[in-house]
Amino acid sequence: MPNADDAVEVTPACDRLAREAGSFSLDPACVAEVGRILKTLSEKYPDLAREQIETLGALARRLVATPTDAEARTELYRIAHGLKGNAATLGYPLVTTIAASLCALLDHEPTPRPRIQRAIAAHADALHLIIDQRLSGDGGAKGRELSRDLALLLDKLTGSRAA
Amino acid sequence: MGEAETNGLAQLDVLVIDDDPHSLAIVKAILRGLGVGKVRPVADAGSAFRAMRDARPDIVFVDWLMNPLDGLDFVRLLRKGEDSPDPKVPVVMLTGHSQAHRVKEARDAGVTEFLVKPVSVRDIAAKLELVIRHPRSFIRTTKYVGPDRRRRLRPHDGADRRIAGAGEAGGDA
Repeated sequence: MPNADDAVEVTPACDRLAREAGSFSLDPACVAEVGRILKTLSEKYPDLAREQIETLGALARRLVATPTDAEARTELYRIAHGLKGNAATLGYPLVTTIAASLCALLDHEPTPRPRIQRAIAAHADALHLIIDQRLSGDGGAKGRELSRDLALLLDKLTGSRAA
Repeated sequence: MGEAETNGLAQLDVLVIDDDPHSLAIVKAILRGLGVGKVRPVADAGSAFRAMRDARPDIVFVDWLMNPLDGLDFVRLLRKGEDSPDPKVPVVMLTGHSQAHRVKEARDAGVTEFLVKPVSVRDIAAKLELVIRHPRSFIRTTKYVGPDRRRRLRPHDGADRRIAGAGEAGGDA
């Protein structure tokens, strides 16, 4: 038998936004305009991301020195996760790939053992190199090699590719 | 951009919450580029609640991984908090998490739509369209507060549990 704890209150869907938005459609001119805005952001990205990458490097060194440092691990993960989320949109998919790989390592071993520690340090160095050398897109031959090496390393250490 | 006056999105007020300045800049740029009239970026949940009390947004975009309150806790407070400024506002969760259990967790917290980063203009436009064109009923039970988690209408011969007032609503998205 239903009782008061099971009560369900339903408010019907409201179409106010549909009425107000009227003839909303994805205009090619809008897409082009967004592309122009993102291109401007993309040109500034290495300079804007540099501080984050340096902080990430310092946190990686801290975690390698003290693998039980939960605060360093959490902050390192947060920064890597952020880079993973936005770099590709700004023309740096290699940063997204490597940051995703770093997140996968941290997920795999929250308290990293020595060989994972070395991999974390390698990822931090790779991210620094990409930003330093402004390796946008797939990073050319150097970027592809870096990406391949780190993917192999991740596979070897965790048995999985980054999500 | 002239499209803002013609595509209807010029009427919208969208609040964007993300503690990552790059992500905030990307989402803001895309929404503005699409012609959204008012885009209000804030860096944390506390600022978001203050902004919502100043003026109710039509749609909220929120990142999952934030400090000190993460996006999921923000949504839970928004939906269930006694002093919530607008429990029913549509919320699009932005996140780098793509695992199924994460999507379910977000849905159960009351998220309206889920968008995995990296995002594109088409991704955001598609979510805006879903929220605008396909609004959902709002459900309040002891266990769940948020948009109806069922997307498809499935006819069935039994009694309508919502009218009968029994059980958890919207569990089979």
